[in-house]
Amino acid sequence: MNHLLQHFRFSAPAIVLFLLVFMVFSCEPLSTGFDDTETAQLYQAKTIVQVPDTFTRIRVMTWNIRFGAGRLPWFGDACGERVIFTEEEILGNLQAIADKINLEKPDVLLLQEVDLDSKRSAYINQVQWVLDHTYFNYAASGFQWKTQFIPSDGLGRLEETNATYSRWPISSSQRIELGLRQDQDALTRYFYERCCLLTAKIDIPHTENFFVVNLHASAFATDDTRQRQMIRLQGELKRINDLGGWFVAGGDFNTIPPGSDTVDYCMVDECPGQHFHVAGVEPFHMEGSYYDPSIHLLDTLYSLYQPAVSLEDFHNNQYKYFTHTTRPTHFWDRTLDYLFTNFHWLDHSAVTHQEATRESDHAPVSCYFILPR
Amino acid sequence: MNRIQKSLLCLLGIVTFSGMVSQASEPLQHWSDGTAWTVSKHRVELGVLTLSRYGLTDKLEIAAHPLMVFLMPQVQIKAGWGEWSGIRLASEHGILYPTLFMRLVATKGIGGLISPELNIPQTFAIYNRVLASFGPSKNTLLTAHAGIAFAVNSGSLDKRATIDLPIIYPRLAVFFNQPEFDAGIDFRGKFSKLFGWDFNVNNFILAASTCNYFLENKGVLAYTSKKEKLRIEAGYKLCYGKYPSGAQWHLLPDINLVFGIGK
Repeated sequence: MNHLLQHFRFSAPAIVLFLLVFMVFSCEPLSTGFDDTETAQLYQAKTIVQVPDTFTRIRVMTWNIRFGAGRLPWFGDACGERVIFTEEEILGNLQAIADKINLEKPDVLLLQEVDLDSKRSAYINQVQWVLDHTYFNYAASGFQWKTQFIPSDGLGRLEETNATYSRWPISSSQRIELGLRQDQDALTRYFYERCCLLTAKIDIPHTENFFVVNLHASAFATDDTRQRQMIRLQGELKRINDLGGWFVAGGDFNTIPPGSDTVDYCMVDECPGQHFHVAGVEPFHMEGSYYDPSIHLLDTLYSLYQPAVSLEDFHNNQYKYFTHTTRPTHFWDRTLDYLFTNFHWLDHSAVTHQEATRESDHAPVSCYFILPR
Repeated sequence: MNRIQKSLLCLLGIVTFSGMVSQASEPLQHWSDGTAWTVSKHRVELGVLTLSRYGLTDKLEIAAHPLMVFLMPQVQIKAGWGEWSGIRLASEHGILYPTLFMRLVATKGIGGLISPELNIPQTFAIYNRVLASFGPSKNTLLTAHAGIAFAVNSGSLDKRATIDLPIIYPRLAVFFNQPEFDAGIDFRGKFSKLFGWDFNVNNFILAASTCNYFLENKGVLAYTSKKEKLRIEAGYKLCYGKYPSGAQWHLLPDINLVFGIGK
């Protein structure tokens, strides 16, 4: 024993140092969680395009681009068999998205489901790719999902963000945590997405305190997750408003407008072999397809702020404003994507770009925002 | 020199220093995985997480993995070629058949490491490696090795079928881009009769790929029972690699349990 101790005495400092050295290495966790509020990542285009400072209004567009998967039948949202798309498929779809952006020429763009380093989308940094294939100069992104490896369905690494693009510099940007689903087991929740708000303060000449708030709410929650997320959104918008700021808020709210004719899409969305609305069989409703419990979630936003598409216009012709479908070969059948402001939209300038049927499972929505001077 | 490089150099210094202050005890011919020594004739070293080895003769051993043999069969032979000027030489030759494992994990739901949409053809790889060991002092052993691996596939293996995880990726990478070269050093020794250490660095270099370089550094403290019936290792494994998503570092725990049967 003494022999051993003698050796240990010589070796102990070395061993402790040995371990301490490795304590300084920081390991990236398998799935990354986030603080309540974090600084977002900022990007810049390779080439900066000069912008005249004579704008009196700007065009704002929101679009969930479905990580460049276009309308391909992905297993997670379209009853498909595909999981990992090829680089050629993703680049082809991204080019179609860039072409549409370059055609519509929004000045500020809110994108959802923009992948960074994801196996499903050939590890293309889509935030930078869109920046480099459009006329935008700056972008900010906040993680919606950041997992080194998902050991399910061959998904592997998944990094998905909300991204906001601007012609003008983004002086600050924050990622705000929206709260996790509570209707999942702990293991699934650990690897699952973490919905966020992305706020960006954009320095438009002669317009002070202009903020863009980009939201992608939970799609499949069956508990009160979306309600909590909307409350957090309203709180952030109230904070900006109370400070005298101007905002445009938009994104994929995964909630249909109040007064929608159809609230139950279970039978529309169900995949082959699935059966819902069967008495005594759980789940009775399909995850993410039954909107009745959340039909009034947007009441507060509609009452306090200006929607790009008013409820009156929507109720007069709901079909015209549908922005989403789950089925790769079908036309839009519900409205999930919105734009709101606490200032003014240019009258009758809102467009739901329903002609964009092949780029994503969401249609972009755009509107002209009058700059407060 | 970045922080990682400085830390690695520091570690190398620590381990070297530990080896120098340690005192003489037993020779190092047992637990010879990664060295030019072979397992003694009729001795078995049963690894829980590593290959298990059996001495066919004093200069020839055969190795296979006890748990993975039904999922990813691998057989390896190490032949000792003798000793010249204090340098012992050996060569390793192995064959790996990963098709069963890859098909098993190409599945829907939890446990799916590869997308089920991808076809996994029949495939196997042949590994060859030369090892040279030298004892700088009575209780230390320094080994250098270099190897090359080739793969044979019965059909096209989709590049999306990679498992982009440390340790696994570089070992399956040869099936996507070949040949694969590996080279490294192993430095091990004993503090006392029962306690020792092992520090090694292994490099994997792939031809014809942008994901072409991987490095693994292992550092463990080891306990060996008096009669060489049990060896327990615990430490770390530091991995660097150029994965399809870019360069990444991983620091992982490294624990192993090996039972020795026979002299």
